[in-house]
Amino acid sequence: MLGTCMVERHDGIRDMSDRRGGRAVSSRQQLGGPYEGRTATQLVEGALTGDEGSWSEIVRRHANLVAARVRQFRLTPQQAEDVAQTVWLNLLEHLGDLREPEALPGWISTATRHECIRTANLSRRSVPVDPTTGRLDAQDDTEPDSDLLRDERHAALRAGLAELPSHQRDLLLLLSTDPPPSYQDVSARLGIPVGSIGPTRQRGLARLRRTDAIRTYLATPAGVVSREGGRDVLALG
Amino acid sequence: MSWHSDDLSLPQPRPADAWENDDVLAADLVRALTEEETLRRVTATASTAFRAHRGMLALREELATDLLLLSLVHDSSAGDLAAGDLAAGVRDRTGRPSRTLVFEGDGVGVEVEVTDGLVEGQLIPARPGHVELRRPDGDVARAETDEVGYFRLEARTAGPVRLVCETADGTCVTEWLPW
Repeated sequence: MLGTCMVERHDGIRDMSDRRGGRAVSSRQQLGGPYEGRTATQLVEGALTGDEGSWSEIVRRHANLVAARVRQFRLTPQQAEDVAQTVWLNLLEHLGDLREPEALPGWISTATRHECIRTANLSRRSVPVDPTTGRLDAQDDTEPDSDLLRDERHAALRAGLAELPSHQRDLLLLLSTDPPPSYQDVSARLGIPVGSIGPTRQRGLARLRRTDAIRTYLATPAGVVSREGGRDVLALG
Repeated sequence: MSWHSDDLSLPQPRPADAWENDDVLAADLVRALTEEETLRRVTATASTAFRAHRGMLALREELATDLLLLSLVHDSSAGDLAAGDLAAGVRDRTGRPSRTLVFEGDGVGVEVEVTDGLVEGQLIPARPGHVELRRPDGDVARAETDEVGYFRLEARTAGPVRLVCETADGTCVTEWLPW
């Protein structure tokens, strides 16, 4: 039953994805095609016989699920990478044992959760800190919005960033990396004086607010975009 | 956390006012970029995993034998997963953080103690053999055990690894796990 849902959702999601921007979309388009309409059973059989295209499609359908679990545990991208790789490696070894391919989302969700718990236990670094202020970043606790609304907001921010001139975009990108670089590092890597980092950041953020992407986003009632599309298997996890 | 179509039927507040604050806008930007980076890495690791898996299948062909998969049965740092117990890690006698892992399957197993840059282990039952620590993209370290199955590997692990243990009785592999 889960498998059926997934396939139906995927058929309806393409137009939506085109507008969303981001790398996930381009990989979706590249990897779509002949694999997109296949059932979970066909994909599992394909992956077991060494067809990497089938495997990539399994991954594409469940990557958001893994990312959502990771987000709940507030792992860094590097920790997320280790968790995901562990889940994929072990999934490949258990793929032949999964009698019902429809059990895939549940298996992946549980395995990811366990790996996230392990990683969070091993690391004391699971609470994000705002790189620009060094303050504890606690806003996630008070965010009541759904995955869809958050995705809309994040897509708008990334699209807005893409509209900025390169010197402002590069600076904001660099300041957003994890762990955050020092102003000395930033100065060395971008070849700009330390003293200009703060003002450039400020001007970049001001310009970000005025980009088409952000203005359109702020002017559109939330939920209008969200209702049109699905979310892979995330809602089923 | 669950969402329903009802949740989205009314206009939702936009963060326009909050985004007037530079730090709030910057923090949301960090989240947006982190999320994209996370999704990219989650997807990219899958290709490495696939190649590693095909490599293990090739190894099995080469050895012309089944590789016995050993599952994690104890992790000193994990506490009780089912109970969600976030037990603190333990430290060894020298005060360095140490982690004990036990893998078992079909009557055989291996126990390892992992400290920074060093892995000490014991094959169960005690018997001599050869061990290799592998990352998805290749070997990390290899060693012969002593006559009672004790081994010592100098290796700094990053990301998921697995131990391949060969003895006269056969070859077993531990499940993938970041140590």
